[in-house]
Amino acid sequence: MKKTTRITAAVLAALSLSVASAATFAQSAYPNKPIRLIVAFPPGGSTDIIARVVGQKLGERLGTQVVIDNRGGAGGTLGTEIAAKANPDGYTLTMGTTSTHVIAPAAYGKLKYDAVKDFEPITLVASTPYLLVVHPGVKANNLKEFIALAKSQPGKLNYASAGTGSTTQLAMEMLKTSAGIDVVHIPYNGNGPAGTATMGGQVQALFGSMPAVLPHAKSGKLRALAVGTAKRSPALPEVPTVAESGFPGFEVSLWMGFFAPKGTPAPILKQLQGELTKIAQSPEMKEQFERNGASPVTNTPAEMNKLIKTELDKYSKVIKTAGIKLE
Amino acid sequence: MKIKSQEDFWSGMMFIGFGLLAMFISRDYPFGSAMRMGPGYFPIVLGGMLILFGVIVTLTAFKFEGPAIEPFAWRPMIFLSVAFAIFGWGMDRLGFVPSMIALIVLCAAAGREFKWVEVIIMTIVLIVGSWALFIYGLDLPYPLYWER
Amino acid sequence: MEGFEGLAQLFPNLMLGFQTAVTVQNLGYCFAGVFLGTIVGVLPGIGPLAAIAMLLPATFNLPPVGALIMLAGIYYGTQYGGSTTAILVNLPGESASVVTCIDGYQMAKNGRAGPALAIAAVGSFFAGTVCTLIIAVAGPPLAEVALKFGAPEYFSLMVMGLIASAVLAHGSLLKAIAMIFLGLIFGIVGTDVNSGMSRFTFGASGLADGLSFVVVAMGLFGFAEILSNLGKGKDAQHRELLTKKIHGLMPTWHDIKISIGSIMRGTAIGAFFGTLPGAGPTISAFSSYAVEKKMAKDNSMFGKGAIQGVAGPESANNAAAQCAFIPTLTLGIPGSATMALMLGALTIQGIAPGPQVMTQRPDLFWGLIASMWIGNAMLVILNLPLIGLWVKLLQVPYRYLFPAIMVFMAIGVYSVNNLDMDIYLTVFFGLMGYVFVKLKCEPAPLILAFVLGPLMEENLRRALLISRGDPTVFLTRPISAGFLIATALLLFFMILPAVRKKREEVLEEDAAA
Repeated sequence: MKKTTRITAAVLAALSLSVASAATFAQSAYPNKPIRLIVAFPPGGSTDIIARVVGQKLGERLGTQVVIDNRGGAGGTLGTEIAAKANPDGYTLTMGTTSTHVIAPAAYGKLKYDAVKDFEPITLVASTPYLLVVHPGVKANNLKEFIALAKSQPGKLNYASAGTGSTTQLAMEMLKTSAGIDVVHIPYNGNGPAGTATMGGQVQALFGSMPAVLPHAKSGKLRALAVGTAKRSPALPEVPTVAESGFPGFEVSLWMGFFAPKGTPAPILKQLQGELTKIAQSPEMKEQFERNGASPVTNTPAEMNKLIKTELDKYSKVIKTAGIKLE
Repeated sequence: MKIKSQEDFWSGMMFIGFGLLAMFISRDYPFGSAMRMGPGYFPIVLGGMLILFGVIVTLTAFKFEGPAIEPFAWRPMIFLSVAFAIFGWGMDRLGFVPSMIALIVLCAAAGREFKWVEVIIMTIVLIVGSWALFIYGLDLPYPLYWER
Repeated sequence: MEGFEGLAQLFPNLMLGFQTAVTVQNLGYCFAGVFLGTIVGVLPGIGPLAAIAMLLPATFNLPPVGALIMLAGIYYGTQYGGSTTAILVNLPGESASVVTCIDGYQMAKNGRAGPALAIAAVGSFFAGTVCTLIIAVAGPPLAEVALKFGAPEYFSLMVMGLIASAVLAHGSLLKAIAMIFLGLIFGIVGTDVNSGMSRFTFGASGLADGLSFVVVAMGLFGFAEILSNLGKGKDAQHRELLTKKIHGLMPTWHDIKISIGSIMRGTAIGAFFGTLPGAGPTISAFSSYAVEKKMAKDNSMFGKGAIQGVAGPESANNAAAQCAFIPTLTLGIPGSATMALMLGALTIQGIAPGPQVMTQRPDLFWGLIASMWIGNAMLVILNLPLIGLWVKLLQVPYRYLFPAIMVFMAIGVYSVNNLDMDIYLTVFFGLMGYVFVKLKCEPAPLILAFVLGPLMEENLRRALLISRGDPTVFLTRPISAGFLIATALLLFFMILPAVRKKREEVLEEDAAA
């Protein structure tokens, strides 16, 4: 007897609890459970670190937990595909980058997601510039001299990249096409090895990502010729841009931003955009980003869509001219 | 010719098989030249070397005496494979708890002794323990059951 | 010269470091780090990389020195935790532990898990101490050596490594070589760095980045070992795993005497290879194994539970893991994904690794050096008492133990990429590993070839690309030529006894016939 009553009481209690929680579930504002932030790269890369730093702050501001879900593989396309197909309830977000939302769609023959149609862009958070460096032994002190050198010995110079189809390769290929020079591509496995090879003089040049090459440019182990951004970098104010060295309109950088699956409710997107903008612009994050060679950038969903479309155009052309094919 | 070492004979056969498979799959990859190697160069050369060594190992099986191959334990092979496969398939579709139940019960069934009471206790202990460690402690993003 | 200056400045600098690092609070963070690291490191699949990634946020809100010391603790804890599972249950969490599995697990099977774990801890501590000093004294000049390594040097080093890995097998040399080729073939799976083409992926996007080490290792070692134990029948299981007497928890004097040399040689080997970005710990661990096997007066125990086969490689592994900080700190070049993550963590704490690291924030830099040593020391203090507990774990009846191992393996493999594909592949490699067991084909050479193969192909093709197709670069560059000469010698000494043995066998057979 006693036993049954106790069980009944327990069941009743459990039921009322679940009803109560269902009620709060329906009423309470977003978010009421942890948010999953898909990072389409394995832990340790710059995208992962920025995602972790921003995710931590986003969780604090929203009063929930942001769980980083690393789904690395296939140049970031695997995780991005998972994010595209996730439930659009605001509890799955992804950190998209130039690689996942521009280069992969442009370079891969078949891709299982559409960078524009499958996502709701929220805002950019950071962007990393690229810096053209040469080994100090190379007889060129600026971009003009480097191009003259390459023209005087076509096919003799080498440049390193972080891999076939990486932004570091595309940046150099763009420069090659605009300047009409022939420099041989030597692919490495990431920015680090490419930087080491250039420092060791195994290859002569590298259009490297800022965090990887900046310390060496400062110490003199590498010579900086030009930055790929539209404006000069505050970290290296004396180094001119590629654009002002004779190639107007040249701009290459790697951006990182937040995306939600298509169909995520507008109020949630707006809330996230507001919070993320505040986070990215806070002095604390600015400092944190700058340590990682990045700078905070924020914008609106409309601007993001436009950015993706312009960049898709730009990089598709480069990829076609350079004959890069990924499968 | 008599096969003196079953172990060596079948090892050789296995190497030859893998070598042929590698060469077959890479038949369409651009081969390039020794100076400018294409993506097909390495796999073809490796496949060839593996076949070569496979043949040598097979030949030694006719020359040197060796023990017979011990019998395979089919029951654990099947149960453990199925247990793992269901776990992998289920994590994203059924959730953590159902996948774990399938994994643990099927694993236990692979052994010789299977007592329901023991298995149930073990299942509960392992699920609670790994939930505490992986999901609660390490924040791994796995849903407990099929609803996200 | 730099080294000399470093030496003169060493003591005041170290003092500064210890002053910064040693507070009650920091020691607490260090203990917490080592503890968490050991627990997480013991879980297979969740190696140092995943562990640091998961525990990283915990350090965000600490003061810089506290965060560094905790991270150091986590790093060493996970390293050592990985060796623990390799020894106890034959699960190598990362490629360097494969070597530890060979004799460490055999020692555990002989009831000597305690001494194996203890010698691993002591060897690691010794190696860690020596290498911390090396970083402090000669970090920058050593980093320059790494810059001298171009594609030809890496290729020749990999060739040497592959040939040496045949030594890991104690059975047939022919089969070991065939296994190396098979491992090289498995290493091809994935996207080709040079052309961007997918090879051996069968159109599956889960294979585009290649087979993950954890999948191959868990399959060939963990899964296959459980199958083979279950196949042995009840009596054999009892004999092997249950009632086997535990022969002491600590090494005997004899153990220590024969291990001291191994530990010192292992440390030297690890310190040498560790500074090279890339496969440092792996190459160090099995180079050390090869050296110990050749040096030992009685090498009949190798592969059956030789303590030198644990002491040497474990010291080498830890020395290399420690010296991997040299290129990371002084050049800002992480040699591995784990180092990349440590680099990120350091940057978040305001240490910008790179050539200026020592002068910019000397307190933090020397604080880090001191933290490293404290982390190593804490590891020994924590783990020696834990050995008894670990060994007890082995006395759990096998019918409870193996489902638990399977669970940890499954979650561990799954947690790497959260992909079901990885689990199916583990089954594939598990069944294959079981076939290997039956055919007496040893998996260690295969797995090392699998790890080193991609580096070898990549660098071979890169070298020929840079030299515009001239193969003489491998011989005209002195470091590369040195490695190739060493390889030739190694091959000669390996084949010689094998040929002699075979000839004797043939003669005996002929005589018998």
